[in-house]
Amino acid sequence: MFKSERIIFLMLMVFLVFSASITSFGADEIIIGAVGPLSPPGSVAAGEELKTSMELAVNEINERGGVLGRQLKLVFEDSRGTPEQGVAAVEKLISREEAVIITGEAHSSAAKAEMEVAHRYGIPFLISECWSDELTEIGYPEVFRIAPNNKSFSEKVREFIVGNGFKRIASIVEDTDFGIGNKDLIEKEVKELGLDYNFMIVDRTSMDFVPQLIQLKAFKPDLFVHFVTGPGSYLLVKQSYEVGLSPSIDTAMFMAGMDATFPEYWPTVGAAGQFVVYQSPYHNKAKFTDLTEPFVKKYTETYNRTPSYVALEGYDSILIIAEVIEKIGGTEPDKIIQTLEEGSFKGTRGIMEFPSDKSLGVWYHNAQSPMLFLQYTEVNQPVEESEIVYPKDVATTEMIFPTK
Amino acid sequence: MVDFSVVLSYLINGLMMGCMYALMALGLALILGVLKIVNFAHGEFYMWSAYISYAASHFLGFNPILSLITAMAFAFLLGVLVEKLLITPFYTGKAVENYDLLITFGLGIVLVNLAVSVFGPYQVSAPPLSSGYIQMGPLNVSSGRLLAALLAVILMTTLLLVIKNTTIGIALRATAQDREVSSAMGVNVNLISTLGFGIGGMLAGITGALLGSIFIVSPTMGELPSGKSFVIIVLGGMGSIKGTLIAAIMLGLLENIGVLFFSPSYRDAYGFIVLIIVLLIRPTGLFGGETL
Amino acid sequence: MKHLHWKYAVPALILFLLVPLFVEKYTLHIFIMSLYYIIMVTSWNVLSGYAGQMSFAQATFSTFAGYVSTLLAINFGLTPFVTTIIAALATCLLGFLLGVICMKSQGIYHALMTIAFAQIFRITINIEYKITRGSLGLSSIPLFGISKIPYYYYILFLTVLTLLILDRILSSPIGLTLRAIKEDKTAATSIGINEIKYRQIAFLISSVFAGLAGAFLAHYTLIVSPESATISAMAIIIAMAIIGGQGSFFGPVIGAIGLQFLMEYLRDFGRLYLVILGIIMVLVIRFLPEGVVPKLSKIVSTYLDRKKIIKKDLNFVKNKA
Repeated sequence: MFKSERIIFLMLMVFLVFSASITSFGADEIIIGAVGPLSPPGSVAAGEELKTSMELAVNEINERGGVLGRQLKLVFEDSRGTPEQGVAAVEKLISREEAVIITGEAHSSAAKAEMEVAHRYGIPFLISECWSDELTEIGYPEVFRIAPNNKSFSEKVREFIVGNGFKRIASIVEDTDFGIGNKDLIEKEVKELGLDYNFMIVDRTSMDFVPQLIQLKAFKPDLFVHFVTGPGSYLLVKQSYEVGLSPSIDTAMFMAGMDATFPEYWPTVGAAGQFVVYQSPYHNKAKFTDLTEPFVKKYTETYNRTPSYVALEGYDSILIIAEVIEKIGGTEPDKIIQTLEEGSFKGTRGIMEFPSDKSLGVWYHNAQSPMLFLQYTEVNQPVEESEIVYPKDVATTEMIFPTK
Repeated sequence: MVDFSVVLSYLINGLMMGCMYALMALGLALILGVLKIVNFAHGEFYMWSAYISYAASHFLGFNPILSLITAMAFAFLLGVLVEKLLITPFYTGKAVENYDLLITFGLGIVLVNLAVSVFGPYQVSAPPLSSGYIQMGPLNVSSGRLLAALLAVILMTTLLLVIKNTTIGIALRATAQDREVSSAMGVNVNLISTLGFGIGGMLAGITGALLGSIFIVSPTMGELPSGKSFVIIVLGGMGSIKGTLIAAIMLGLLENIGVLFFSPSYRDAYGFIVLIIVLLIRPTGLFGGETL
Repeated sequence: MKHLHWKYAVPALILFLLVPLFVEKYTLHIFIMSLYYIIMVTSWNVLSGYAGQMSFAQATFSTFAGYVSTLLAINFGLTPFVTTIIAALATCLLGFLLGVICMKSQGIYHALMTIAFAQIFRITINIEYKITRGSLGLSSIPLFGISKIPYYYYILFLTVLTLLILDRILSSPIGLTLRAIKEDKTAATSIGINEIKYRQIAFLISSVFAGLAGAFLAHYTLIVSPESATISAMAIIIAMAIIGGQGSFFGPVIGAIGLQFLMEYLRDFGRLYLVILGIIMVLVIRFLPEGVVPKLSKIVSTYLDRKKIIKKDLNFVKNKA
């Protein structure tokens, strides 16, 4: 028996070694590696928007002749929004696909691990939609970000709180860097203002938040701001409403996660979704550049879905990469890094520049992003029709509260 | 300084969730009792039925009750299919150690990832039986949840009556108690086994359709409820219906009250912690040893 | 009844030693992961296959070791080699603890205890993010530099070590006793075998190697997160063991390598690859419950025996003529 086992084993080994050595060599393409959550526990909608918008950008550029006469090839790997899968994805993109740059990602926890891999290999990593301060604060030269960061967000939340006179703030945050990072920042701001703050940390994959919500209700807050991503965020809104916490006449709701802007919002949340305030670095009432509208139109036509700001970030990421490669006439990592630091890039959300001064802390290599707070004033209201409630200079209305 | 209305809210929510947990756990208990099989794919019956219910209402335009019935039928048929194809070798007694565990485990993997391929990884939400909330004094209770819990109670009562009083019910209990003797007495044990698995799967399916309309339908939604079902039937003592019901209510209450007295973040762990503690003291569960 | 015949083990080893010369970076990564899984699967098999105590805690052990090793390295500045050993011992203790918890449990209860244990562990890691950074994961310290080659030889060394030790143990009276307990517990206890003591031994053996592997993985992938302690992570280990062949020694080994490579090829199919893996697992359990390798073995050895018999017959005929 054992002899035959050995033979099988040897046969298997030989087969493996030889077949595995076969690598396919693509044409003279420039490989752009991208990561993002295409399956749970990541936010699939975000990953899909990144992927589709990037593909759109790559197709557009290729139709125009590509970059430096070569076609771009986008390889999008599923990171599932987890550090482990993210690491495997980036490892594969760099080792096997020989990507010249990595971009994408919508979950800070994955990005944190992915950037370590990129840093080790010296490959640039242009982060599209991860907000954790740490990512740029650490100061890896390879890491760049076009998304907002938690710090800028919490500063704006503070202004929002002050501007609307809220006194008791309650939070539910997910057990990730997005949740806990923001909670720490907000807690600091709120304490400085001398206000009351109560928070709870939850497992993002949980389905039933009612016990926690009941407790927070007893705290009688006037603002309920939550930092949860993924489908849990919708349940949170729904259950918060059913429990009588928020949105209600006493308690306003601020939904900080990106999921508020996706079309899945209304079917899941239903009537509970009215009066919710949320953030989005993009709104059609605020046209940013001449690239914005054409992109939105093309995306909507191609994919039958209105793009959220995540899609804009994905699109911009590719635009920047293509421009950089064109500028340096090659794909050497150091040149890419240098060009990113020195350049000024136009995207769909404005002009982006990446400061090279490390003393800026979180703003090192982090382009500025517009940030708007919007409010759904009617049930089933599309994002385009929602009102802008902050910043005051572009606001279209004061915050609206339910009357019941 | 705990608000009375807060505690009451917890009790009500705990009871409602407990009723629904009970329905699902009952299915598992039935399969375990009648077929002596551990069904690790129970959560996937739950999940697939939720999707079928969603599909029925979304694509075929069925109303919520009709979608629920569709999901029930689907789960039953799936159970029958699985039993006929995969479980029958188990009865010969010559199967590998832990055959049932392993094959249902593998089946679970297939079903989860098949759902991802078929329905996509996005979560969807099935239309609820009822939306909004009911105000009962200082409390707000989700009407969708309340309705689902009531339905669960009705279905369970029906099932228990069937098991106690009808011929099929007696046949199920007989097969659970002693397969060989029942067979000798003329019970078609193979048919009963198939029925048992079908009904058991169906119970998981109903729960899935109900909870899918309250929460969210996603390919991995079955994992945690499945784990809880196991905790319940083990706590209650495998094979004891009374035990299952009591344990289910207990778990529902514990998960809510636990948030009040202990850390809210550990909520999903309470069931498992209690399980370990109980099994250490009473290795066969609280009411273990009784049969169906 | 030794499993490792030198005649065949040495050529196999030589082949493994030469692998880095033939393959490119990413394939080497797959080999490294295969070796990791070989350790995980064979150590799991000691508890669940040989001792018959179904356990879902293997991935928990390896993740635990990863965290211990990483935390020690980060907070106390110890070299990863030292922390690996400490982590393996700590995992051994954890295995002992689990063994004690499961002491009175049999069959499905035992399996459930291990599941409960695994879930509590995973949830705890997530919640105690101040220490573990929760689902963010913990960044670990590398063992070597950028090149994968030292990692490969290191894990190869660990794997060979594991297989040698396991082989010694399992062919020794301990292994036979474990098998005896699994086959017929009542008979075993009636001749005076202390079933509990041997179960504990199985737990200890199983967990210490999982710990070694887990610490290695942490310092290789440079990330340790609760995701490696989920049911899905466990599913892969179980699938490898089952498909390979639970009862045999080499079955899981071949299952581990075979599946790891198969999964890589299947990855191009996107999400379908887990479906295929699951279907294979179900089919194997249904129709080839002993596993693929023992079945293939039988086929090959029947073929060889037949050749021998034909040869003998031919000789017989020749001599007669």
